[in-house]
Amino acid sequence: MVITPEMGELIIKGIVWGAQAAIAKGNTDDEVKLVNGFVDAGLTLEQMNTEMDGHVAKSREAADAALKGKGA
Amino acid sequence: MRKILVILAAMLPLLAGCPSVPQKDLPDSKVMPPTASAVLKGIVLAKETLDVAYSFIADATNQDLLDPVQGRRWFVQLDGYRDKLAKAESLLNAGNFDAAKLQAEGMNALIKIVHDQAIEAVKRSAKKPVLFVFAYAIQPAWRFQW
Repeated sequence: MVITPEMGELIIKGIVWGAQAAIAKGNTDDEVKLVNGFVDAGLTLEQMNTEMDGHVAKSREAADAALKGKGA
Repeated sequence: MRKILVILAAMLPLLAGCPSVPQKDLPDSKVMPPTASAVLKGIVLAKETLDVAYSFIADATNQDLLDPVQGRRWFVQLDGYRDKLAKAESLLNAGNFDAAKLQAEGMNALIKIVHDQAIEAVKRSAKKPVLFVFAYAIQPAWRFQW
């Protein structure tokens, strides 16, 4: 079967919208997954605190880079 | 064509996010008194909220779903809350548990507000719903069959 450019475009639009919907939903589940991952890994509370510092530093850097990339 | 549409339809719930999962309890500290341990849990959770909020701004900005100027404003706000969380940690280490707890809880709430505001802004700028695209895409197949 042949996929025409129009069909391909529509499929891509659907996938892009799905990704946008995931973002629009927010990352609240990520928060839970991260905590659960720490608990499952058997980290102590103090280790979790240190781990979080690293995660915050990375996500902050990613946000800063994204904003700078858009001229803000 | 139908196979592709079925695959696409099956992928959408995955792309749109999984259902909420329950959060597991953080362990108690083995070296801190219970009050301090509870405060540290609050700090860890607030940092995690901060991590999620920064990530959200990064993702939404990269997808052109967030006005970068507004994104930068929220980023600066989050930086302020991050500094106050560091202050909460200092208070905890100094043994000022009540102040540290208040500071951590307050920051967690404020970070969540920024995150919620960013989500609302992104929802407003998100494009047309997939059902419309999906219905439009499947329409020729209906015509072909019926």
